[in-house]
Amino acid sequence: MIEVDALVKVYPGRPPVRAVDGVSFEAERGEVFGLLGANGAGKTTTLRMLVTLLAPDGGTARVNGHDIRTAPELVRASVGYLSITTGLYDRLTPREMLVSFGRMQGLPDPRSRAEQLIERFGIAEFADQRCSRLSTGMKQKVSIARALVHDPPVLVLDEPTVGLDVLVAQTFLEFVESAREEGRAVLYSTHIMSEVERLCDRVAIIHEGRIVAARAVDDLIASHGTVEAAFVAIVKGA
Amino acid sequence: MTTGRSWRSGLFAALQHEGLLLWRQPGVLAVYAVLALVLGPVGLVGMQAWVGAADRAAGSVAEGRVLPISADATVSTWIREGDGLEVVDGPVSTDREIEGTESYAHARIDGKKVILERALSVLPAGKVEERFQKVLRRENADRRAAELARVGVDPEDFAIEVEVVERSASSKQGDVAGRVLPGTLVFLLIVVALFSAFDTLTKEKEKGTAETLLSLSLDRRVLIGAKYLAVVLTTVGVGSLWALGLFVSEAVGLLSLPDLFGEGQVFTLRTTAILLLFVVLVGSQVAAASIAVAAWAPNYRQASVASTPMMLMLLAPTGFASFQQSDLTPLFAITPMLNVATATRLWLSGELDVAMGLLTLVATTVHAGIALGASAWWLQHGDPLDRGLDAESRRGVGNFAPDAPALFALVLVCFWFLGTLAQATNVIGGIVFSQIVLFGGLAVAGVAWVGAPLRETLSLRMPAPRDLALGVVIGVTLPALGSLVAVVSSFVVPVPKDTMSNLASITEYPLPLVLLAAAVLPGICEELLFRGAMLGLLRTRTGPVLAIAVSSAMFGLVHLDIARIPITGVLGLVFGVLLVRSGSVWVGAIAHLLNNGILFTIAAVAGSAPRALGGGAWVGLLVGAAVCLFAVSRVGARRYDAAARRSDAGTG
Repeated sequence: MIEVDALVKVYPGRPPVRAVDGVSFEAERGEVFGLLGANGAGKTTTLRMLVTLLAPDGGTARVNGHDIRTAPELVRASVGYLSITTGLYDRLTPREMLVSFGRMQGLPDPRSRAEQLIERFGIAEFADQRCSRLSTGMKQKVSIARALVHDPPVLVLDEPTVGLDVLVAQTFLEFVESAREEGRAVLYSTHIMSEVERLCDRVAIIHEGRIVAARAVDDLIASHGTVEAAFVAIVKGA
Repeated sequence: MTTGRSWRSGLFAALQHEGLLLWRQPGVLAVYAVLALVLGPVGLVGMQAWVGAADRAAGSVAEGRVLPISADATVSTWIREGDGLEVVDGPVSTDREIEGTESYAHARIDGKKVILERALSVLPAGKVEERFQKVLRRENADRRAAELARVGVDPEDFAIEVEVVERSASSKQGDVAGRVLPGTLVFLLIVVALFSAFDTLTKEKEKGTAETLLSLSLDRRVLIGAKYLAVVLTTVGVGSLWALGLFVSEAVGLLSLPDLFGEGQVFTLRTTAILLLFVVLVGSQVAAASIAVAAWAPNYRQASVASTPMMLMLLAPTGFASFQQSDLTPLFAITPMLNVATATRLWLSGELDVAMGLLTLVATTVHAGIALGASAWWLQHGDPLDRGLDAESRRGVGNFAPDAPALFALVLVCFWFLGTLAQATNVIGGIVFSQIVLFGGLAVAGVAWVGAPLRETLSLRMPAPRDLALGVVIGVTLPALGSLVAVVSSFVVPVPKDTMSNLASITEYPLPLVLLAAAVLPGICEELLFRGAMLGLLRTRTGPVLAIAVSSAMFGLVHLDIARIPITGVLGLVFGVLLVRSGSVWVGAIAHLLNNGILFTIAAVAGSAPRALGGGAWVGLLVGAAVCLFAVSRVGARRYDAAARRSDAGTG
């Protein structure tokens, strides 16, 4: 589903920063794949290259069989992307957001798709309030619905629980689990160890732009006791 | 590359999205509508008052403009038709009639058409003849005598016959309308295009919505095309409202313009159609330029910094076309903005050459295409979100405030109407009003209004005594530097040798009054506005070099005279360096005051600014300029030493 092959991104500067330095991994259908790293490790840059927001300086990746370099539109059509900000328009209501994004994704009937998502994520109560007035939890629900509007086979989630309270975060984790049940491939970047333990099947630990370990989460726990202990040991060793 | 659906449906969906976002800003739309409906009539009333006041004050004015004359020129070469006055063979004629219009005049000398430049100042009617003769004598007498002596002709046999031909009333009024209306309209269009482009593109980057929008399966070219169309439609919509507002308000009698335009309706269907075409042409150009800036700028702060020079670049050609007596040459016809503004003025006054009009149309289409193509390329290939989406750096960005460009635009518009009107009514009073109210007043009010700290932003603190002393040295030598710049820039732009010709008439007032109005007040008020407020506000958003450059360009532009832009621009650079280095606005103020004071004192004593430069004068100029630049560098070095000492003390 997602095949990442030696991606490189260099930001200009003195000296140039190799933000992503030859990252490779694969994630399968029906799998939650964690990308674990400290702030600035290169998680967000990697994800942005995957959803074709950034052009890679080296390497490539295939998402749902489409190459990010040669078929960016088809890649984006296959991906639901949740950025670190909620990315909602303050001026629009959730319903308008969903209809408008559905239309831009080329859905034949964006309105009924919007209603479907509104019902599924419990948005109905505030579907006609402006997004600027919504609470963080409400916004997160709308963002998820927005990312799913075109029913993508791949989800790319960039630190989606940052700033959420415990209860909302719980709901969110349940949603990720249900996405796995539905057979989607989920790429999940985070720096929160407990989420990795709970959600991810496999995890890649990224440090200073390189993958320093890519293992099944169960293996990590078996060898180090917790993901946190494994992370600290591996990053210090790297 | 295809996504399996037509780009048309994608474009339509994206356009619907843009439309929804725009519609959800009723406040902004209301502001656009009010601006569109108010600016037109206000512009007209200003124009009416301007013309009316000038008519009342004098009824006529004329002023000659003469190119620099080289020493080895002959009669046939040193005067060029259209550039200055001409010496002709002929009998002495004492009875000649000079009639001018309020804004400028055409003269006929021995059957050849000579353009007499528009003058900002207005002379009493009886002085026109005298003034004309003064100009002629001053510029031409010596050389004419020498030249005639060389060819062995008695100068007594020669005289100059001058006939000023007044243009027809409707042509004149169309011309005046064509000068003022495009200026206000372009200002309106630029403001709307910039604001909506920043809102639809830069703000999306800042808010993070661009990230979700660009992760849609739409082709980026379709997305940017939709945003461009949205900005064009907004801009053209506001501009059309402006033109239709004028048309309707005159048609239903809300505006009565017989004083200004004579008989008949001014905003006929024809005029309105011309203006609408102008709106579409300019709108699609400024929208493309705005989209390009908005696509490039990673955030609002950068966009705000870039918007100032951009606004100047777009407004300057329009101002030039409106205020200078320019014809639509092929070069002008392919120059962005200048071509459209000039063509519209000529079309409105019924003087547009069809071929040049068509060339303008083609050039404009090409320009918009190039600008749009460039921005589409940038968005497709240039990693447009690269810098803008770096989360850490985005967190550090403060709220957008277009303070410096907004303040400058306000000053420019106020000065354009109120300042020139006031100076046309009463030269000294107009200058005092412009300086105190428009420059000094708006500087303080503008900074206070945007909520910046007054003392720090305007750099009001007292300078070190040594900096002040250097300010005096610079002020005394600055006229030399200015004259040198004038000489150099005269190779590029025709500069009247008397660089203060527009203000020369004020030398008829008592010297102390002149020095107050033209030296003391500009020293304080212009420095407060351009160095204090503009440079101070710009420095909070960008580095000192760009801030000094932009504020100097503003300073040059506000003089509304292309010939003086190089000189005033260089003076602006000097004053800007003085402020940044000394940390006080008063160093530049004292230099500015002395510079103006010396120039006006010379003008008052000599009756005119110095004429052709002899060898001694050249040496004096070069030495003076060198001393001036050395003194500027000393202020810088002093500041550097002080900083070094402080850092030494800190580490030691």
